Amino acid sequence: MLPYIIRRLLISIPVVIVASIVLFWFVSISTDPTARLAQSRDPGLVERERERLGLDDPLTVQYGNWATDFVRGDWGESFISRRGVSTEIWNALKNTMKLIFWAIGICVIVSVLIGVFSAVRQYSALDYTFTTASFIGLSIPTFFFALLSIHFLTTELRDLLNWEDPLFYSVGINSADDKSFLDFLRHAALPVLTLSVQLIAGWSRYQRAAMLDVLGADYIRTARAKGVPRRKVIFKHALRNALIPLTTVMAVDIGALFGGLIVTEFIFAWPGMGRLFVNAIVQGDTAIVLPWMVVVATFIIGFNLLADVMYGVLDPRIRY
Amino acid sequence: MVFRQDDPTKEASGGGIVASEALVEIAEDDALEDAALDASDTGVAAFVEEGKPLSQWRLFRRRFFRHKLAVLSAIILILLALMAVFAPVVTTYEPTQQDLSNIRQPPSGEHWFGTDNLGRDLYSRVVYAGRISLKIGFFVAIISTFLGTLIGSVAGYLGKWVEQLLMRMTDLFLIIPGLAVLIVANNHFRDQEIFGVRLATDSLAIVILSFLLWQTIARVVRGLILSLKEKEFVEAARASGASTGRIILRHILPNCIGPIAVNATLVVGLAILTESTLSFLGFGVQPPEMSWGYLVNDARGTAGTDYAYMIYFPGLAILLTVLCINFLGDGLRDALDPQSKH
Repeated sequence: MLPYIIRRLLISIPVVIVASIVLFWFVSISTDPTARLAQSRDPGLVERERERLGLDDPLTVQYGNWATDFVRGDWGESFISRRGVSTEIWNALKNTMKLIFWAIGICVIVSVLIGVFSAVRQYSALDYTFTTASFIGLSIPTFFFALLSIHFLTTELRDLLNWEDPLFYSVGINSADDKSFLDFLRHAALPVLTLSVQLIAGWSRYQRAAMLDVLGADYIRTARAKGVPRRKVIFKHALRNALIPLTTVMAVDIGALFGGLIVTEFIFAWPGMGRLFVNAIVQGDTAIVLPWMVVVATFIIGFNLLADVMYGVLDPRIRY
Repeated sequence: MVFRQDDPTKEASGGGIVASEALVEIAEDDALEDAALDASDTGVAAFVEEGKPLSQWRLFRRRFFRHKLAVLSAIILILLALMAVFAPVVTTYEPTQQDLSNIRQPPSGEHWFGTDNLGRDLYSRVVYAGRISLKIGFFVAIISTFLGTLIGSVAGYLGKWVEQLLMRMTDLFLIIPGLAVLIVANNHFRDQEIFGVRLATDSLAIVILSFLLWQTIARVVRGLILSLKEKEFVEAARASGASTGRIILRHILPNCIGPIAVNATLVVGLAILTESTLSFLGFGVQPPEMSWGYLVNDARGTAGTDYAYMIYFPGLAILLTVLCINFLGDGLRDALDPQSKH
């Protein structure tokens, strides 16, 4: 197992490098770090900035310089806040992780329960209900659901309860005067809910399919024939194997979430990676764009790797 | 008795060489056997009970119409498309016509979906925005299906380093943050001329989305071709001297129509969803063009107020369209590709 993990890790390194080259090329043709200086009265300013950033060098030289700095931890500084890009990204990453952590905790439990129930009661009324609900969950635009949740769970719910403050807040990660955990939860509830809708819609389908697959296996029939109680067969014999496909799907999805929360964070003003990115684009802060993309791509590659490794660890039939 | 759309004899017998014709005979038998096996779990019962052969098309229709939700979805989608095409006929107001004495009117008989902040009729705005949203979904699906099929079939058929190169390139799209790339590209190219033309924002969205949504189809097509190119009817065509392009286009691809159609359908939904997200964030379609996502963005501030109906209608339009497309894709998958499990 260990040699396999090491081999996979080594293969990932060139993948990260190739991804960074492609992203570097893409960002260099589609952003202009001097655009924000175009209004300047000083005619030489743009020229000097291009000189300073080395924008007139050949792309290969530029990439070489950038990559060397990047590996050494010098990611440049934000044009707007003048803070280091690595600090900005690290702070945003922490907030995004908080969101992902809670969403995953809820989604795993709910999707597994829905998936198992739908599989055990295949073609029952509830199974059809879950299936239809998951189709809707996969078809609803994130921003639409987020706005609906703000409308109904913030304002309408507050009016219904006749409260001064809403139960759930729709802006930011903490109140200015209240940094308690409860306050955090009241802020996190709606973004986590928004995120969960799509994840549960997808994951519960996977869990249902995996569970159906396992329930049809011979060893399940054998267990039942031996007289093992139904409940025990479902949760002990079947579920444990049926969780394997979901873990890999989860790992891949979680990796994608690090860059995939753009809409949710934008709407709820959550100070994470997605908001950092949108703000950077709107403000022309191009220094953020490339490091942001490389970090996100690295997370995606890392979690894909994790998915592969976990599959091997969890399923002993797979040998490397 | 032709189950498959390709008839191996049609092409190859033109070669006129006796040996190749003999090969074709064998190939045909094998293909038929395969077809019979394929059909045995789904179509064969229907086939026997009528006592006369069913064409591929009739088998497809029979399976598709069994899927009630998919049929309903297809009808709704056709209606939506007709509304978009005949937008001037089905609306009474101009979508941009302002009426400042009638701002923020809730839905009524006069204004079905109410009016917005500038007194514009939301119903006609949603219908006109649907033109752009549906157009983008449709064209992105066509272009990315074409790209994906081209890349997938070349990679699958030629194999070796061509395949390695193309498929590693496809994999690369898995690890780049798609929405972020879309935002950057849209933000940049909307002020730029591309080959001397400045694209309208909706055409730009079509181009950029197409470049990011072809990989699934490429992967599916490559997988299908890898198995099909070993089949005897392809060998027969090759033996009788058909060119590579002809083999791919006339012999192999017709057998991939089912999965390609299913995935192309799903791409329509994905494109509409992604475009609406982009426009919602302010990076997609810009006025004077408008899409459903743009309308939701325009009304974003009304969440939590009495005017939230301005969000409901464009949002529900996206939800309904994408939902119907997904149901339709599901129905097509069951009808065209009975062996697949999803």
